[in-house]
Amino acid sequence: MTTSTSNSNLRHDAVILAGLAVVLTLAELALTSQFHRSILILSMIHAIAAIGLTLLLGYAGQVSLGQGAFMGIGAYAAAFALQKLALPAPVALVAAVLLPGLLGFLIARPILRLSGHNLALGTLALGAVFFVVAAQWRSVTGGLDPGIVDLPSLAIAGFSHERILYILAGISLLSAIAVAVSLVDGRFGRGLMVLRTSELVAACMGVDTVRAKSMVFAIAAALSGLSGALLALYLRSFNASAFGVGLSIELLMMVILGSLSTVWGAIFGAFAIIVLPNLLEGFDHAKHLIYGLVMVGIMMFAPRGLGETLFRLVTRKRSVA
Amino acid sequence: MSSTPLASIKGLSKRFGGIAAVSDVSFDLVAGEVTALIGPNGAGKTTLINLVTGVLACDGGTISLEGEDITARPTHQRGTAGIARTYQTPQIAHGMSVLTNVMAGAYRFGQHGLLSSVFRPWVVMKENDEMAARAAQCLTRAGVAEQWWQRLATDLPYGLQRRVEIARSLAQDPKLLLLDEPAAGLNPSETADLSRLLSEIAADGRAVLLVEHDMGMVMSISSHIVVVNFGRKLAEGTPKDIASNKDVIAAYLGADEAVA
Amino acid sequence: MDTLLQILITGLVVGCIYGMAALGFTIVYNATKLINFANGEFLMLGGVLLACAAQAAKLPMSLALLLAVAGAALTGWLMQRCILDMAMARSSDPLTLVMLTIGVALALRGAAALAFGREITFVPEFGLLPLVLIGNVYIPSQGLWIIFVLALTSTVLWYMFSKTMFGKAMRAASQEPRAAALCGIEPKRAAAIAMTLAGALGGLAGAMLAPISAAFYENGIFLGLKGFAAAVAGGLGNPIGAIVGGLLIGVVESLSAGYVASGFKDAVGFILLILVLILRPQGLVGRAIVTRV
Repeated sequence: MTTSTSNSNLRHDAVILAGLAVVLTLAELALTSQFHRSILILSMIHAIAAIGLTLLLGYAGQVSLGQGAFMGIGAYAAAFALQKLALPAPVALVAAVLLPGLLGFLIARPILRLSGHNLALGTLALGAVFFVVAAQWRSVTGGLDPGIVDLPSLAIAGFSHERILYILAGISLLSAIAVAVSLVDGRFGRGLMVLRTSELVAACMGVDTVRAKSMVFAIAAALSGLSGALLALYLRSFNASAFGVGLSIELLMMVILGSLSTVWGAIFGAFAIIVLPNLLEGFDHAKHLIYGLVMVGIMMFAPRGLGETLFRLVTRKRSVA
Repeated sequence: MSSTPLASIKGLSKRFGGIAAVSDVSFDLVAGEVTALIGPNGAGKTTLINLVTGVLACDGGTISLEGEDITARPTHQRGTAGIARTYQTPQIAHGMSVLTNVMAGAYRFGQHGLLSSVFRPWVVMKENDEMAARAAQCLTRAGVAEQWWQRLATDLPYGLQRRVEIARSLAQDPKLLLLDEPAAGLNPSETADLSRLLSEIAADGRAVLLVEHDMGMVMSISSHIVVVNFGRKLAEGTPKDIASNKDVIAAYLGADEAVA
Repeated sequence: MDTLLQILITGLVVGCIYGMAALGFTIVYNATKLINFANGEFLMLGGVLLACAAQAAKLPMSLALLLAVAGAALTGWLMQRCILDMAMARSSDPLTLVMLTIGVALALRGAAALAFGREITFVPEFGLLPLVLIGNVYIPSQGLWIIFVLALTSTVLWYMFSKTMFGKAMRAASQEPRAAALCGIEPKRAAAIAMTLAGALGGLAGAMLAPISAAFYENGIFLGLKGFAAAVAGGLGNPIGAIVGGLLIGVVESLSAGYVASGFKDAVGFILLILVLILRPQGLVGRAIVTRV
């Protein structure tokens, strides 16, 4: 063992995390444009769900095409807690993490009996079922029209709604990263990575594979829930169409645009997917076509993630997990 | 040698559809000894390893480890109890360095799971250092030079991947180590290294079950040999007994000889 | 009683469409073991192309239908030749291939939105066939067309796959690529033929459906999922099961729309898909003749 390399990535991760915190704080202080701030807020919010999917897909090797549904469950849980139960926003956020997390844990055991393309099919169907239910269960969701409207503004004591959301999303994102990087750093993470190659090998070395997979699925669902709840709080009005199959696919895009091997890729991916439509004139028109072509290209030439492959080309380093 | 076996296999049976892959096989595994399991291709050797590790559920018979019946235990509990294995083709996790692969093998010695990871990362960092030290020892012992440790494990040449796999199983500090054709694809000098290593591993006080076709290796390092054919135990004894056993010779040379 | 019969007929007609979608999906699966997530987009293309040819270009219905089917078939062929052949040679990881076909599905949806617009378009019925009225129960003219087309295509396909040398070679291509090559069909060619057939079948189904449920560039996701549900319910890889599965899903949906709540009908097929995948991966129909992957 050479002394220069540590056996944990955590110190390294902590430095980047601190750097990110500083950048986000400076950006908040420097930003004057409402538009730029909204892009950052949306990027941070989506990155949280994408981090969850990175853990599930990248580390544990389990695909989910239904993560948008867990975002939706988080969003509706938060809205329900705020409007119907008149609970304060922090409590609503906690509920929005716990409910999807618990649901994810319960669904995980049956659904993770599937693998490969069957798991993709099953989770896609799950996402579609959620969309149909959200669109129809009007007493809770308000359906497609009007949906959820007029969630309370979070502005307090000279802090605007946007500013509060920026802070909330920032803290949530930093915590999500901290949770994710420490989760994969220890033996739990190593067990997951072995499981990704072979469940048999992982089990023979003592990893309870069913439990490990269920935990990751639940964590990914909980992070999606947090992301969805923040989105709901920020937008204040939304309907079921925000949480359809398209959102699940966008989350998948964020992960593969970034990296399947590190949670940091999710931040890059989320930023790219949020910024591009806002940056390029007429992008929205050709959005699906471009996403589709990009996805095909990545799967053909950089299946471990575009950001990661580019990064390796530049640094010429073989990645070491 | 020692009187109480570390592990006993009694009347083990497994059927696939109508075919009996293993039927009524019994033998003991003694700590400190290499027991070889030999037999022609398709005799049920790998199936036996899968039954002992719990990857397959057996249809009959019992498996016990240190006097405790583990027949109904799931695979991961057997791994935690100290049963480790290697595979016919090396099963190295991709996307991980050699060192992390072997650290993963020490899974059962970790105290800290998911919650500690998140809330007390410093404890986990310390544990990682301990596991890395253990992994380094195992790699050195298995003959993987330090220059390889930070490389992606799947980039290593085949012979080294086999050693990494053995190092990983050593990191599990197994009481019972099951090796599925560890010498396959190795050259004579690598095979000699491996024989020496396996003898040393057994000398630690572990029970080693060796499935192998290389008869020279089997004869030189095992204290006890079990021969299976068509899923049944054909013979059992010391290398000397086996070398002179008529049934065994017949099974290896073909049925014609047996008739004649 | 009449209501029930009417509901069953509606279900069977839609079920025929799902069955055709499932059939295309099955042919591809049997040739290359690929789960094609873009299969639903073939149906979308069939509908949108028909709408464009018949409404915007004012072509006669028969010509428009031909164009729609040919367009979807060409798309299938191109997809296999330009993308999947190369990808399959590079990687056999099922997850990579799944995401690849999802990418293709997205691109097709996006291309359709750009080329044909984002409006929901309605297409007139094909006509010619009468509306059949038995007592108070009626079978719409377009429904008759759909039933007729499914019967015709499935008979032709059945004959092709089980009676001709070509069909035998196609089936062999997935199981024994070398033997199939000796019969004159290489795996690559079999894959291209299968995807073209799936495109044609999907295009036909989508075009037949357009007069009763409108053409829309986002139709592909749900139609695709229901096709999968049908194929999985029928036992993945079993063509007869695919049709039976399609009819089953159609009827179950129609029943739940009629007696439970119409809004939830889409969810029923998907829930069925999840349950079958988990509880009976060999399918509901018939015995397990399929080897699990």
